[in-house]
Amino acid sequence: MGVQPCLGPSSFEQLWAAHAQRLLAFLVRRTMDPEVAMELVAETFAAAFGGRRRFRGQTAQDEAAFLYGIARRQLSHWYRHAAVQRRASQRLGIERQLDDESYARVEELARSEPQREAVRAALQRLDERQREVLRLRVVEERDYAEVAAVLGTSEQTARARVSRALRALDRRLSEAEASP
Amino acid sequence: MSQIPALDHVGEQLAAGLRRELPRVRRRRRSALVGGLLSVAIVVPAAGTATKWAGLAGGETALPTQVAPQLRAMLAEGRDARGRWRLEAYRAAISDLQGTVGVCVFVSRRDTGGGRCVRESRLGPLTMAADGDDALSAIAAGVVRAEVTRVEVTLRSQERPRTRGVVAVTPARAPRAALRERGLPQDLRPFAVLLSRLPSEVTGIRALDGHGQTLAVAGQPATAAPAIAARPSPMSAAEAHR
Repeated sequence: MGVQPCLGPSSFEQLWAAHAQRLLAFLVRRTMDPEVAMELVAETFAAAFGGRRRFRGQTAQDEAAFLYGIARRQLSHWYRHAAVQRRASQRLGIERQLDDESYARVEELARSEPQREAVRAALQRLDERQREVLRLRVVEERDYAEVAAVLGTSEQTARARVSRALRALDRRLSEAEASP
Repeated sequence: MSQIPALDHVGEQLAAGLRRELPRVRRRRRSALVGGLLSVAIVVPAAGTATKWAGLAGGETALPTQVAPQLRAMLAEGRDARGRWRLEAYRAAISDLQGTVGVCVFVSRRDTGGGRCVRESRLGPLTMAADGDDALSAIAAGVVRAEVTRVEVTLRSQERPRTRGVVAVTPARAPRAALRERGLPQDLRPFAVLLSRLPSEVTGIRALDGHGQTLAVAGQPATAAPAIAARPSPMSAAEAHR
């Protein structure tokens, strides 16, 4: 990125090079939405820059933990509100436009063989209702009104169910990633 | 390059954003230097740029909304190698907190200033402001909420703290009426020390009472030195409040 501000031992340029794509993959697996994942990556790095004085670590591992901690908080906010926080990235003037090529590439990230296996395994550990709601929203890409119609619920309830299912998927993926 | 054009684009925007954010302090240093050399007075509002050092106590915020001079309470003032300085406090909307009104403590000079703003609930027992772009004129000042008689400054290069002569300290002429009129906590009491070092070299500040008891800390100061009298101030309290 050509800039020198540092978090710990690494500059933000180095952090971006080391973590941006991995973080994008991490987030797209959990949101199943390339646009949202891209926005969350931007907000995570912008928030890390804004909160760099709170960083108390010393190693590259500490930096990664700091970044992923922010990403998790952003993700959690998105689960709860179905909206990405944009305060930090707006402050830095970041605007995101996901072109078709990028969209396809991000999808590929989530669908590369190891990732696909991980997601498939995590999906299988969800209950039937959660798999159904994710199939409607993510695989069939229906909007929330349609999901609600299929489920016979209100749109608000449909949003909540999608959110809960994604959160459950997140937990399963994290458990799988944590196990050797 | 990541093979994902949009990700690369976000990276470039982020880099540009960081470049815009970072030079604030550098610009302020440059302008102060130029101002000093050419005797050009560059007037910066009292709510000048928050210095990096001012983040010692945590929670450094973006610049507050500027407030009119009559809304600021002048807690202490003095003169050093660079001229007159003032320690001011005022209530202001904090831009980084979506307009939440907080308390700002700033050292201001004619050409620069530094300080911090916090929510009133986070206003600690020691709230610091710092200013100075060269070792001759760096000043650390702040408000305390207890009887402080000496201040120890820990420098990055030294294990032992250095006791600094306090040029404005409690019980200064605390302008209680002024604080009350401006809606500020009435137990704010000012102090100020001349650093003789760049603020960026300071890692911590410890405020102590006359018995050597630590009353408040900011940053990561070294262990308190044995109780000794503060070094004579290069400026008497009378001068400081003249």
